[in-house]
Amino acid sequence: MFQPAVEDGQRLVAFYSGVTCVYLPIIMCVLYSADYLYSIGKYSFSPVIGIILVTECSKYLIGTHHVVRRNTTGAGRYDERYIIASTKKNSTKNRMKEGMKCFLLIIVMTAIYYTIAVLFGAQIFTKHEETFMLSVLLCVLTVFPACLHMGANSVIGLLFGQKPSNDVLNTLILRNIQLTLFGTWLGAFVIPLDWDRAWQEWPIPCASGALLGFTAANLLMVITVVPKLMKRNSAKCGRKQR
Amino acid sequence: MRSFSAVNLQVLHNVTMLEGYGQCGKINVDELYKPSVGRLVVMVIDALRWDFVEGAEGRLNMPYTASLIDGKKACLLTGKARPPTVTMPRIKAMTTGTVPNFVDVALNLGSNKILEDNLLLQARHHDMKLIFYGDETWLKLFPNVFLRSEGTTSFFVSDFTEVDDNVTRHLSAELSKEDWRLMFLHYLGLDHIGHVEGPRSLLVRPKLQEMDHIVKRIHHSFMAWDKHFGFPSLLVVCGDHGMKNSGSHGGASPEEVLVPLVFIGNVCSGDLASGMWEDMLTASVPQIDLVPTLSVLLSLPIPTTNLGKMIPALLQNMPVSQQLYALYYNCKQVAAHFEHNIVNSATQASYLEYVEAMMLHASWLTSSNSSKSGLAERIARLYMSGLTGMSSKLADSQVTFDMPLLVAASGILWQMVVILAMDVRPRAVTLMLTFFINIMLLSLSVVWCSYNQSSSIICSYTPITTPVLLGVITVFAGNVSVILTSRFRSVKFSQIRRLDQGQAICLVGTLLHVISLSSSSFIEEEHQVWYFFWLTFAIANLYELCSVVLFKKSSVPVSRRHTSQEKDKSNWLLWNWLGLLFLHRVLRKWNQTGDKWASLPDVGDWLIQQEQRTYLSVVLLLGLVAVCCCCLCLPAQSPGTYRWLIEAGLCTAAAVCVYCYRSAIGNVDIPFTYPHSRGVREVRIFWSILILILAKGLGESLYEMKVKHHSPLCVFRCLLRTSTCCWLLMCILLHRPHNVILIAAQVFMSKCVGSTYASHRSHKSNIWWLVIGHVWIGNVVYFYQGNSNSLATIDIASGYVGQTGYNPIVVGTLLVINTYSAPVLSYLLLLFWEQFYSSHYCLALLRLLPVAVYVVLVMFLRYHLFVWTVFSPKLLYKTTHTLSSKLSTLTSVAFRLDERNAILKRYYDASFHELLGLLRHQRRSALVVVTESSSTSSRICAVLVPTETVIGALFWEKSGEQLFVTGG
Repeated sequence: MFQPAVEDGQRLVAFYSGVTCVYLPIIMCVLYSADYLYSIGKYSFSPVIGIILVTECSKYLIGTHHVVRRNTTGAGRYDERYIIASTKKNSTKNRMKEGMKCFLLIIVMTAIYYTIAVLFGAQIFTKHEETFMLSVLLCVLTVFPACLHMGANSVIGLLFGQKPSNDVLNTLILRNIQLTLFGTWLGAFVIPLDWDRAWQEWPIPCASGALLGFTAANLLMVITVVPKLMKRNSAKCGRKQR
Repeated sequence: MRSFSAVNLQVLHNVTMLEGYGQCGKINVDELYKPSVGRLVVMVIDALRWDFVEGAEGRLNMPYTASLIDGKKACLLTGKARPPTVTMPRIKAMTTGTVPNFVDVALNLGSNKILEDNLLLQARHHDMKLIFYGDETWLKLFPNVFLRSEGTTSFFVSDFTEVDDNVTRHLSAELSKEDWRLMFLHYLGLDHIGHVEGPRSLLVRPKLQEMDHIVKRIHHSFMAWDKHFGFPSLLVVCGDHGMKNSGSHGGASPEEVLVPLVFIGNVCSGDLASGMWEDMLTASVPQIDLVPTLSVLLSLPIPTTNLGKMIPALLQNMPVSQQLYALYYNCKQVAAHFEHNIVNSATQASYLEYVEAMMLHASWLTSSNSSKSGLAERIARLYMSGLTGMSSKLADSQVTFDMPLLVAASGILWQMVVILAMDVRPRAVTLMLTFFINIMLLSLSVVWCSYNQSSSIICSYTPITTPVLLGVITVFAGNVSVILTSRFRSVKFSQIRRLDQGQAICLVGTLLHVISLSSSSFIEEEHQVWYFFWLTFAIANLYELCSVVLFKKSSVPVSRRHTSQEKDKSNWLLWNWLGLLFLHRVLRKWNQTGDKWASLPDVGDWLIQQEQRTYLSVVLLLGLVAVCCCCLCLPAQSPGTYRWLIEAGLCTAAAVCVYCYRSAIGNVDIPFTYPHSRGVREVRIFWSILILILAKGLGESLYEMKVKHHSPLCVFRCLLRTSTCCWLLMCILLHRPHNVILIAAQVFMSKCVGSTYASHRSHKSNIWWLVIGHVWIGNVVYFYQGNSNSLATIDIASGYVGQTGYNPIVVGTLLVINTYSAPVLSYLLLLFWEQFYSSHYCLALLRLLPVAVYVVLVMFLRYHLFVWTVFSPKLLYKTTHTLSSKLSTLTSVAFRLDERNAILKRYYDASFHELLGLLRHQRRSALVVVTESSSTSSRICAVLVPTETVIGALFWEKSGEQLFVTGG
């Protein structure tokens, strides 16, 4: 029982990260070539955020339904133990409740991100649009996927430093959050340089830093997980052949 | 005084230009080089910036001058001052035609006699009478040159009218006298207004109108003069430097660099747009160009040191042959410098242009009249472009670097860093080793010098430099032997890997800051870096506290986990940190600083406006009350109501004095009528109160030591309390009224960091966390105050608080106290939390590492475009900062017998080598720097020793005693 769960987790993570590593760079390249990256802090960037949202959702759906084999002993999916609803059967009411909770959490986190950005020096009286779009982007990259996989309560726990269980999926989500925020933080360093380039405008470096950080986190996971999976597969094959 | 005139005259009269080309015609130099100006008046208005005179603004500010310019009776050119835009170097540039370098800023306060050839000297040698009224600096630079003169001291900044009246009152007598030929006037009022109130002050326009009126008076007496001298007169009105929008100057922004140059008189009355110069007339004119131009106009020899070129606009009214001759003369003189100083000078384009121009000129002289005009224009153009090229190239290459000294200094600095990171146990063998290494190095240096024939100071064995060399070598050898005999502190990598967030941020932040020093924009905007790190640090702490409070995560060991009191404390801390974050957001807008965003409006600017005086009064009052509370809340060793009352009374009295002083000089409102005063009395009372507090603290500690027999540590804490209290009060006196509240904010910040440290002591046993926290607080508050890495942001006015005259030592001391109040305060506050010896190690290493990296960086970037405007002021700041922090640390540690030897040597070495670091930059005036820097250090000593020796003395007593008294 334990062994397949770990393998499932690794397979799932490999799938998630693999997809992210492909689609985010593609989006960024398209944006870059279309000179659309400069409008990263405008409302007109919301379609792109929408695309990211949709991709994350579909990743989740495909991942949980197709990549991970159904366990023959029960109808449970690999990561459903995080979702509280599943303990009390998947009633629609519980699902709705869970969804509302996540939604609230996302809104609160957007507000928190906004406040932190202002504390770090974003203008208070102007550039609301830019700061707001940055915090939305950060939420979509950090809180939203976490909510999808774990449910609101565990996300709050994770955000405030509860040590996550030693699990691959958890590690992925935690690393996503950490590296995304770190990328945003690091991106701010180019703003004071006196090069007077268009991309130094708030919040372009921070937002691109977030995207890059997110990609980097996924890439890291692919690099760590895929070899393990390969090893296990080859071992299995060897056993079969024998 | 050396005389250059003889040499010059020879150049002028004996060398007929065409000799070299063998086509000799007879040139009558007297014909070609004759005066075209009779009387010359140079009126320097300090800090007159370009937009005060230009355009519509100028018509309102200086109506008469504007009407002259519009009526083509005068011409207005854009002058360009080279940084450092400070008065003394600018005067030097305008009179000698050389490019003074950065060390002159340091000398700005104590100006020395100009030894180089200059315009004034030449005039005097040619029997022209000179008179001068205005800034005293001129009299120091040119002693015994003027027939009549009177200096006004430039250092009493809050005086706007008297300085100028003292100049103007001589005017009517002088205008009617006939004996003088050159008059120099230097008006300071505008600069003072700028320093105190900024360029948008309401006082600026009346001041400029006053200046305009003086221009009018002088211009009106031209007629009589012209008749008397037979030549037209000329009045030059110019600014020596501009001012920033914040009112100060010293840097390289366009507001500081661009100054108007107005030439009033017939010389410049022609139509500027015609003639052969057309396109050259609109370009901006470097300030040094004034020297050859005025020399030519007065038919004086051009000073030998001059690197400037003619201003074409002023040559227009001369005959062509004279113009060409003047250009030739100027060119020849600059070319001589060019040949001397520039490698491959003969192949440079500008030099070739000069040679070609000379040949054409020769043929022009012999050719017939018909083809002359076109050729003349071509010659003039060639001369001009050659001159421009050579002049700018020369100006840029004025500085030479003493590489051997440079390498030696930074090498020793790095040795210090290594030693600080080591566990030093001096042994007997080091002495022998030192001796051998010493001899080896000495012989090496001798061999190297004789082999390389270097011109470095190290290789010139004069009586002054030999001790320096020996000292350097001894120190170097000593360090090497110390390094060889001791071993590194054991740092286990597992420790590094197990850092928690706060510590990781400290580590990353320190490293990133060191890296950021390599970029000029990060130096200009250093405050952004610190704000960013500080906020990251604060948010990380808040986050950790949050997780403690929300999830009861164990951050303290199991043994004393979560009593309810503990939880309350965590909650309280949480709110404190949250408050800290928002406080930071407000305070970073308190004074905009740096370069790019410095001109944005900020709270300080708003409060300073005349209309907001009520708010400013409230803010000052709040700040005073808060600081008084801080003084009284400092943890006391033995509380007693009686004592507390005395202390409260004294602090309140001091605060009242400060408020009265501020209202007396008109910064803030006072509800009742206050007797008229200049604020001197209040400040004197303040100082006597401070002495009382100091005496009380000393007496108390003596009492505790002798009568009560408390442990020396108690006495130390008592003294620390007194000195901190004094420092706080001194700061509130010197800071600008709206900045007083920052001091209270700093105490609050330190309290947050300290109590977090105290409550998590066992968890965060790492002392680095506390030390770095305090260093960052010091830096952040330093920038809140409006300081930056440009010399322009030093608040000169604070040096004159309660002063009636100018005393360089007092003013310098006050300036240093005001500028570095935050770092020193944060050091004092750090001592409240932790007196471990290792905290000093951390502090020293943290201070020295960036400096060492920076020195090497500057060494590599010495040809960088911004080296004079950005990197070297930063070096100056860093040196002073390190000196002041070193001295405060030094005095508090020096007397501890056990580790005394090691630490003393280190600190002294460190400071010494920073001085060396400064020194290597200006080889030309190296000796001047040595004396200057030693005087700087003595100045700082004077500030810090009184407060700090007290602490130091206590450490002495403490040696061998228990050290483990916890903070909080």
